Amino acid sequence: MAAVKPKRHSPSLDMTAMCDVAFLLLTFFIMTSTFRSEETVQINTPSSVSKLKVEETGIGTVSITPEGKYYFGVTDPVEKRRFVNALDENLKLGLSASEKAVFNKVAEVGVGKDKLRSYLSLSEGDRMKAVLPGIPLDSTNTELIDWIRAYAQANPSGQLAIRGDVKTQYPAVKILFDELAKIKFYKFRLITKE
Amino acid sequence: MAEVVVKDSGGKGGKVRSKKGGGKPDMTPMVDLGFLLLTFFIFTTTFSKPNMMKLNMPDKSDEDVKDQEKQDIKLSNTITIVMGKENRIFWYQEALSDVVADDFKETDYSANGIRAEINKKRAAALDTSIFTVVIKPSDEATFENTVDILDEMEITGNKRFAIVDLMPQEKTALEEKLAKPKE
Repeated sequence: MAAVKPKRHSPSLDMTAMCDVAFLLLTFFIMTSTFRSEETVQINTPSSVSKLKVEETGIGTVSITPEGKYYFGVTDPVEKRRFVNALDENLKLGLSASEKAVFNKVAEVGVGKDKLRSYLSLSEGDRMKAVLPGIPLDSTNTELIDWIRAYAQANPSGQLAIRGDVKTQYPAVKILFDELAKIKFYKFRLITKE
Repeated sequence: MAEVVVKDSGGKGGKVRSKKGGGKPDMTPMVDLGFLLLTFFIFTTTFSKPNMMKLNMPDKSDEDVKDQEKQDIKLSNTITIVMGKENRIFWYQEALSDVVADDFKETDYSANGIRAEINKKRAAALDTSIFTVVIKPSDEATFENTVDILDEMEITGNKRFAIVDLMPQEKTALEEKLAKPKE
């Protein structure tokens, strides 16, 4: 009688299970990560030694371009929805549901309330090309402060971050600091890079 | 493992049949691809985050408290940093009321410049614990200058600092200083 030969395994393992795991993890990470929406404005932030990372949620960002124009953006989509509702109510914009949906898609808004509706009705391509005037903030018109207030009202635990360009002149920052002090907003963050 | 055993029917006329794969493709390249994409997504999501620094501004509404505090601050316990145009930076340690252009000492944003000055002045302060840095950016200074100085505060470990606007006498002194040739 012939001895029972142990069954020879070929050296290749069954990879199906591992493949499943890899793609499962991949799907999980893609789903959980929020995609960086298209930046409306290019800002080259100054560098710092700070090790603090910018949070994804609970942050409203004021961007200041080198020309001193102000943009406002909210990262978290849920907060953004709350913010646009509050803004709509406070400034009596009368935005329709579709206009709000467009607003949610735009990463940073750089248009004041009087031009906001016409800006939101533009097609995506035109919106990218449009020259944005920025949200007004000067001694006579402090509309940006209304935006910040609407954000603070919609998200009471939210923080304010200021993202300035390397070439942004200090007076543009100073007006913002001064106006924020007027509404007793003293704590904020400055966005930098490593 | 579930394998489909293909039963060999023997074949007609002893014809050599092409070998069947058994319905089990090699998954290794697919696993490789899966993990590659996975690594890519993990790295891109964590590395694209910018940094930030916290900044607390003084409360301007309580002027009384501020005035009270002001009196406690001795001249040697403070240093005033003035940021001018074209990345020029000056410091002085005189009383605010009688500051003139000659009091402004020019330095730079490097480690041997303003950082060394801050450290030197702090070491010489009467009371190191209340050593205060007063940061005064002029209208020609940039946002980068402001962040650089705030960064120096972080590096030198100075907790007491304030961003203040230039006073009229400082503005004239700064203009005078800027008009003079660089030392």
